[in-house]
Amino acid sequence: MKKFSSLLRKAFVTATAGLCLLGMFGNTPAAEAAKYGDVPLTDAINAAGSNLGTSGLKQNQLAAMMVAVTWPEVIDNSAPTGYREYVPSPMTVGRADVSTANGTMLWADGVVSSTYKYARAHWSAGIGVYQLDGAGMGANVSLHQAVMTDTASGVVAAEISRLYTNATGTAVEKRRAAWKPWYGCGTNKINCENNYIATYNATTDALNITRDTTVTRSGGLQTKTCYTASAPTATWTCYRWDASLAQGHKGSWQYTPTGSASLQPLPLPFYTYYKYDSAVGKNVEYRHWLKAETGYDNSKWGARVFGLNPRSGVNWYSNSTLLVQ
Amino acid sequence: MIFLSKSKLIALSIVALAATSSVLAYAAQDTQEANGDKAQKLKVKLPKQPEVWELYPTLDKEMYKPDFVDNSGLMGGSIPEDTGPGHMLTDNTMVNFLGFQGAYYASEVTGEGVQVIENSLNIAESGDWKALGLVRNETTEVVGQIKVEAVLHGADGSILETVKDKIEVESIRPGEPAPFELKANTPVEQVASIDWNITTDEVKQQAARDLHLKVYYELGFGKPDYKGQKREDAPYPYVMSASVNTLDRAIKQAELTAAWIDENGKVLWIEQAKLDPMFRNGMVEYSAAYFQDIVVTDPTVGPKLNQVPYLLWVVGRQ
Repeated sequence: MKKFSSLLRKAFVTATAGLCLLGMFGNTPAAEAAKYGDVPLTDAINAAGSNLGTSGLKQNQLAAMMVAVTWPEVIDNSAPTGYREYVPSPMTVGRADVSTANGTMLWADGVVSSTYKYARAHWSAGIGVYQLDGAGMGANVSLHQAVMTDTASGVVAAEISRLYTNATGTAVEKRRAAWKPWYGCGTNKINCENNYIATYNATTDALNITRDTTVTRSGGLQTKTCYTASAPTATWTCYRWDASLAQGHKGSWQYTPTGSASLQPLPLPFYTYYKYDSAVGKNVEYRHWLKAETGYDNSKWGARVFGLNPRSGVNWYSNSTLLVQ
Repeated sequence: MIFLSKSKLIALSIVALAATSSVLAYAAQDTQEANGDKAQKLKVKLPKQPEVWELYPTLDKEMYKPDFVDNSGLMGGSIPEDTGPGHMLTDNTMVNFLGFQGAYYASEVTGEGVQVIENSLNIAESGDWKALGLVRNETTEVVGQIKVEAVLHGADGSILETVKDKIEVESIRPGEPAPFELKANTPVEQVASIDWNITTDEVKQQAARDLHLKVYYELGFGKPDYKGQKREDAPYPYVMSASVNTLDRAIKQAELTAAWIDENGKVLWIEQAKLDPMFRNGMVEYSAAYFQDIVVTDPTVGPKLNQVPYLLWVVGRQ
């Protein structure tokens, strides 16, 4: 993703700090407030309330710490008027994993090439507004749980609260510790600190965030019913991810869909679910790219055992027999 | 550093000694059982991989449960058959257990003490003799501390030098690998053969291994940005940021050990890290903390590290 130049960032930070001061006196115009999905914000607040523990944080305060990471993680920082005005999209998939890690198995059949015929059957590692990654906090959740803001917020609230509680130091230092998992928070976590200050009024314990009702919990992820031809009565819930249906800001992750040497492909629509496989005693996440929707000559599919880094842990297959009602 | 390929290892012999009473007794018993059928191995109980609601008890389990439980092989053949209980792990199988992540974990052991994993050995091709590698606990009991000794022999059979290393990972579970690094002052070309001696101490106070590891991120060597975020640590070393979660046991300290393996399974590099000083008060039950970043500036190995798999161990002390 493109990011602010340092100069623009400084100007932006100065401007938002000024807005923050206005906000502390209750005079911030609504148009200048940060924007966030309506239900996604409620989900963050509810998750915060369930994970305060002994942190000493207030519910809105923890929620502000949570959503603070979303803008630098998923919004294009080069937006001219400040990235907090763009609503993070729950269906965001990370695109900039190229050459950052041992990521060959994110690519269909392990072929790392944007010109490979199945390149857009691509397993994205970082998912959702919090960019839960299969190597880290997303290791033991499925794609749809990383997208859905209720389940994603639960994991994030728990981790942030725990880090904050366990860390020593001032409140600022403890917040820095709590944001450690998100590199996008920047050096000394200044990006997230600025977002936190801009969106949380410590005096009134109020959030200064405008709710956008067009961005839902699922962010456009569709709930479907899946089955196989060999057992048509054995159905299960699955989910359809289609970039064209994504809600929220898409400019930061929906461009150059075929990818490049420095950009992963934008996945074509796929179906996903996770099952407990009693034969092997494991949770397994699946993503199926059906040829009827991709236009490929084969229905590619991938599987990842929970806990494994998808960069090396996805197994790829052909000829998916998945059917969707 | 350049390392010898497996084919260049000359007359490698491995002698594994179990030195303490409990382990020795168990190894003997295992060997007896194994003697009945040389191919027969002993299954071990593998560590748990916790569900997300077990890691974070504040979560509502119902919200995170699977979309279905597959008892009938629907979409069967989807994952390697060697990844579950009742299936044998191979050296290549990646696992994520409490206290360990990576390959080389065995689901069956020989019962013959702690042994060097030959395929993991990476011995310097030039300069002074040096070896990176893994041992594996081939008993069915947890072993305490492991010491690895290499006796270097010249072509005439004489002993050139003996070098030792104490493995930092403690309380190594049945089937679990552990890394070692040995350095000698003898030129590698003078070494014709090696005897490996491995001793183990009994478990005095078992270290906490029921800890959950996560990698927050890896920053590539020489890469000026990470996922579009500009780095401010020029000249951009390799960086690994990793964390640990406790379950129902508090700990005072934790140590991370990381080993990277190349495409042939040989150990490339080993690093250790303690908890970040922010967490100097330790960790209570069901809490989170992170380690000091692992930073590798070596220009030869650094660029490789974010391109190859890693093995991670965490040991907690109460």
